[in-house]
Amino acid sequence: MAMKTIAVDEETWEAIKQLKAKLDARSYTEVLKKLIEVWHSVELDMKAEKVSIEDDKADMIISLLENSED
Amino acid sequence: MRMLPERIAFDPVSFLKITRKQNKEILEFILAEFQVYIPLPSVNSYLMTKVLLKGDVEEEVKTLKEVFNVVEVSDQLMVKMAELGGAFVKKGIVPNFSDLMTAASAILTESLLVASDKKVKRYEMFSKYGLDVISYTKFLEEVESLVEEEARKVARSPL
Repeated sequence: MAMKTIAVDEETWEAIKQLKAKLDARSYTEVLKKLIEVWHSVELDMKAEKVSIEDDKADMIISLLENSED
Repeated sequence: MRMLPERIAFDPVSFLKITRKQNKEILEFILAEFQVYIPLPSVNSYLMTKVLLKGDVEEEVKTLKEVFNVVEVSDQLMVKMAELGGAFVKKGIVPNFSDLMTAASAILTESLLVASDKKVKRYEMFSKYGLDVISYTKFLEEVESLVEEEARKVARSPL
């Protein structure tokens, strides 16, 4: 597989090295894949939070909808 | 083995059920695994609830569009609704407008319609015109199986 090079500043390099050790990752590709996975998970959490409705209010409308339908 | 297709749509009641706070984690999983289409009657039910909660409705519309695929009114949707409605009128049946728009939206986006348990039978009348429908309870059971499958995959992965 063809590999690509990316440049990061010193501070990021130190942080990513520490993370690689913490994750016991075999390569920086693995570290980045994990970071991307976590980012997606956080984004989904934020999206789900934004559209969540208080249970009692949702139940009230559900009950109205179910009772008003013919 | 995954039994559910990649595209799903929610009817008004099932959409309100899946957006209840207690279902947040299931919704996260659904957003990761499926392309979710929301017909306008379901959007309307959701927004009515937000009005009840004194939310900023314009902002809520933006948020909904960021998170889901809202099935907006288009020429194709109007044509599909007219075709479906016309087929029933020929038989002497006038379908409920909300059901008609919900069914037409699901057919048009080629998505599986998740319908409330009470209404799934009513949507089945659209099956011969191309609607795939599943009850909310059955859908949640299938999603739970998928969650277990994913958890097994994660347990086997190296990191």
